[in-house]
Amino acid sequence: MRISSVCLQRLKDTLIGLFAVMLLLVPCAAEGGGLTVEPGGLLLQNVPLSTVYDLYKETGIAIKILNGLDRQVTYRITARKPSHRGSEKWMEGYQEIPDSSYLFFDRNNVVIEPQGAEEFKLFLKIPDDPRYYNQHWAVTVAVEGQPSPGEVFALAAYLPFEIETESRNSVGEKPWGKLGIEPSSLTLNTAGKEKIRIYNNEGKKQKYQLGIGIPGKTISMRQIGLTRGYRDIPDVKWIGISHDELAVKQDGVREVSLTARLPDKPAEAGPWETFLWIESDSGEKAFVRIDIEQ
Amino acid sequence: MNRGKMKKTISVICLWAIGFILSWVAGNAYAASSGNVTVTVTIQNVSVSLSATGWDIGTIDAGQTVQMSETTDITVTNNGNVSESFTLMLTNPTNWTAGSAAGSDVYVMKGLFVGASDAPAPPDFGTDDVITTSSQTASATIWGAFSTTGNNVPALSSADLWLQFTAPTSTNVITEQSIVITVGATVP
Repeated sequence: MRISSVCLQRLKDTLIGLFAVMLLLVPCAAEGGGLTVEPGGLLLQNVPLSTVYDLYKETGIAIKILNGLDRQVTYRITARKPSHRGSEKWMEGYQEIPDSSYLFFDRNNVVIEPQGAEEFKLFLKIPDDPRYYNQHWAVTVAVEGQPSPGEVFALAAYLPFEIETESRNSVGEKPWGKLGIEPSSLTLNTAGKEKIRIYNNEGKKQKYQLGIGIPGKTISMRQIGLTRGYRDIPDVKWIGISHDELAVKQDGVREVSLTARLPDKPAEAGPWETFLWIESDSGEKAFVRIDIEQ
Repeated sequence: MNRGKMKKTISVICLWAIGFILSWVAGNAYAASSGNVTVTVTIQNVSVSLSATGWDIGTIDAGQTVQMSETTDITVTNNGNVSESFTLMLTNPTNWTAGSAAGSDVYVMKGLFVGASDAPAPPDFGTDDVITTSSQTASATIWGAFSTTGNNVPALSSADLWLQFTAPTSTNVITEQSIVITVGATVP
């Protein structure tokens, strides 16, 4: 009997269908365990351009991985744009870092013994591009366990880092990003007045809503952190703002004035910090840190 | 050189010198500020653990769907000090690829994060619950069908991960296949 090649293929498929498919995800259920990474998040402010910043050398902070599993695990360490893989979300008011390679490590693979711990060091170098002053960036540090042969589950931790570059006035170039601000941080004295510039880099005319403080409607769970040593301003009305709303033409720039109106004898002691919150019609968000000193 | 011209030359030199000094001072001020990075630890730690690291499916037919049970589900715990959201992604074995519908050498892996007493039925696993090779974060709808999800899990709390697997409808591979599922933690 002759069987055509098509018939032979069909027969083969049927036989394969009748055969049991051997899927053995793991020979036996293994004991569980965990992964811990500390610190789990960092805010770096006033980061200079063009110089290598060595976090461990400057602060003594290294990133520690604790392998709570009963087997040796190799962990891969990478810096990523938050949208790439991991969190997909990042803190509102920050933009994704333009290039995650600005953040790098002393090693990209760490082998950790069962129930052991290891550290890795973090470095940062922002290119010498004036557009990178006044930036608020989000980046994710991914620590991913590599499974050994035959294992089913691997563990990973995705750490949210915020990087704020040096604040500068009159840089002479438009800041990078769809919504640019200049400066990104300023200090107001008791009755001081300062100006900030808002750059519309979105490719079309935009209307911006402005306010003091972080609006309650911000959807991210984590809120922008205060600079170390500063307290949240007791009353946002202490800061006057020249515009609540502002239209900026395509590729245009507009100025906004901020004025401090502190009471004669504040009940609480400073120094205080708050934020100028800026939001475009298209949903772009940015903020300026406002530090108040008596 | 007459006296007027000489006066003008000295003025120009003075202005140049003042400019140079000012720019030198400004440059040094910048250098001083560049060493003034402020670092704040915003999250003490991110931590995640699993109650077990395996799921023994055993031998199943081509195209067959199997899922975890109360005895085989995996408890995923947030051992950190802040709320976390869990992430899932998978790594394909050598001969099969993951898809949203089973096919020749194509399998489907779905996941659900549920409460300790929840027991999802097969229809509870929807199209939003397909695990792919790209990491995604749990939400109310992604890997979520019950009141407890893998999204915004409080510190020291947990969710149970149930997996559902559909084998390829046909395959020439009848040897053991290992699919790696990466369970991650991120801070919402």
